[in-house]
Amino acid sequence: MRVREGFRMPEEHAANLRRARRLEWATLFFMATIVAVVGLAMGSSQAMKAAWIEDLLSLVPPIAFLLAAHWHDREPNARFPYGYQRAFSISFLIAAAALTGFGLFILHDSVMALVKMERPTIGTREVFGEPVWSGWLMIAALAYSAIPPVVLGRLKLSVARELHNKTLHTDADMNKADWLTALAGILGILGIGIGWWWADAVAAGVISLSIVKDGFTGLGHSVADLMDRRPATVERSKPDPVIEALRLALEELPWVRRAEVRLREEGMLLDGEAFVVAESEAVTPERLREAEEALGRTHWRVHDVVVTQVAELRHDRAAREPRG
Amino acid sequence: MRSAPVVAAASAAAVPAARRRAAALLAAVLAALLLAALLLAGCRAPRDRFPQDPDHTLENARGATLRVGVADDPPWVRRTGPGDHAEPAGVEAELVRGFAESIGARVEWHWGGQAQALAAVERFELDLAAGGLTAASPWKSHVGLTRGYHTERLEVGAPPGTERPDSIVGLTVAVRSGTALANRVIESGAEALPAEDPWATGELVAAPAWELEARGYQPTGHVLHREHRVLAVPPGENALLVALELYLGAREAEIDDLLRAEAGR
Repeated sequence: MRVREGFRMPEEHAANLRRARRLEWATLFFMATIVAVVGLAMGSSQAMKAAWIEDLLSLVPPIAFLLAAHWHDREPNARFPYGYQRAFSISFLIAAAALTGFGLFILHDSVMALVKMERPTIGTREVFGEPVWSGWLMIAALAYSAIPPVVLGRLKLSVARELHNKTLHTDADMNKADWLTALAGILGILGIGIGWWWADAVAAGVISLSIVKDGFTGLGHSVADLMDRRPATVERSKPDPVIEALRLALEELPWVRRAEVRLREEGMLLDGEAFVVAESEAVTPERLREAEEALGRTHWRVHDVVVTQVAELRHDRAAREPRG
Repeated sequence: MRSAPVVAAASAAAVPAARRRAAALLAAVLAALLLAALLLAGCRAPRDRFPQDPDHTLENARGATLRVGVADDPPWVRRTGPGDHAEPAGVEAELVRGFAESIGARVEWHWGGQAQALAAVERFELDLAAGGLTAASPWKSHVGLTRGYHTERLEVGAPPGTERPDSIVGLTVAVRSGTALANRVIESGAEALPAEDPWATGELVAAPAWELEARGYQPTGHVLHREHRVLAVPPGENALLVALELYLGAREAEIDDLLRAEAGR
């Protein structure tokens, strides 16, 4: 088996990846403190429990990212001739599945609490010798839980765009939306303070819906990725302009008359095949190699696009023989 | 080295992104305003207005009647006479009486088993339940339990006049038969001696700290178990719960004296 060449990331992007790893370690640290703080303040509030579960689950995507980042640049070998770049897609699939599963579980819990008309009992606790309504402590914990994820989310978002890393991007999006969870939880507890016993369960339902949405989105992205979907932009999921850029780069070569490409994303990288119809001159291995290098220079993400010669493009044949 | 289409696509995406950012900012401002309004309302409300009772239990009892379910559990709740509504004695009875007085209510006592009282509280047919309740009660998800107002220590004590041992491992410790203490004694490495009247055995005795003190037994410092005594209110009635917890907290220092007075009987 011909083993693929390993990918050498340009220094600028390698630095970004290192930055991303540092941010994910920071995320793990802060989310752990949030889990501790919210866990201590939790009491019998359903919304706090949902927020706590979401914070626990927020540990999963960073772990998934860090594991993938550790594996992805191993040299391709006889056992894995295509290399380990897919580690990002796989780890995110696992994370998204975990989120979806737990999110549905918590949603079920909240709905049942509402159906059974469970009323949360929230009394007082002693803080520095003074009795304080536990609701205030819960609100304080939730307020704290909103800050680190939002800050870290924005930082990670810009890095994810640079790296075209969908795993990191989805994780950052989730973090950025954590303020909604905190707000829902706080409104739920204030609602209980006013005497609306259902406010807590409703808030828990909202929070669990957001977890499930995150899970489904992540599942959609990672499944599409693993099914070799056409490369798309990180946020908008529109076709990535790099596809057209590669085709044009090939057609600019003097010995190429027509070209078409077929690409897929493997983690952050692009690979696939390119099909060229040559001008009358003979195509040599050197010419093909030259074409592959030209593609590599088009974008840093291009890695191992194999150029091959064909008699006619599928695109042109379809134009010539329209299906009747 | 990006080609023209890439740049064009990037700038085309900027316009709807700006609109989305504006919408998000507006939503954030509205949410912050709502939050501030609610917090302000909560902070400025006097202590007895926030949190509130969904079922207005405290409000209904204030200046009227507090319906209390009691179960026999000396020295906490003790029968003084026959009848379902007889006035009880005991530490918890005293605390409940004091609490009712603080909200200007008279107490309507309802005697029964603990489960009966708690079931009634769960259904809002009673306002409070006392007697035999600890923080570990399995009823905590059905009713509202207060914070532990007193921690009862189950200790091992040496009879008066005898030498106080440093460790109880291998020694014989008498316990009242029919309690859950025998197992705890065995777990600590001592030998358990269940007896109908452990105080007459002349051995070390495992009992609540207040009882050891009342009988002049010296505490060995070996604590077998800690229990947090609580009272129960209907689920979700947080105004009543907070008022009760504040009252109990204010009288915390007197509880040891109340226990001694009870033990004297």
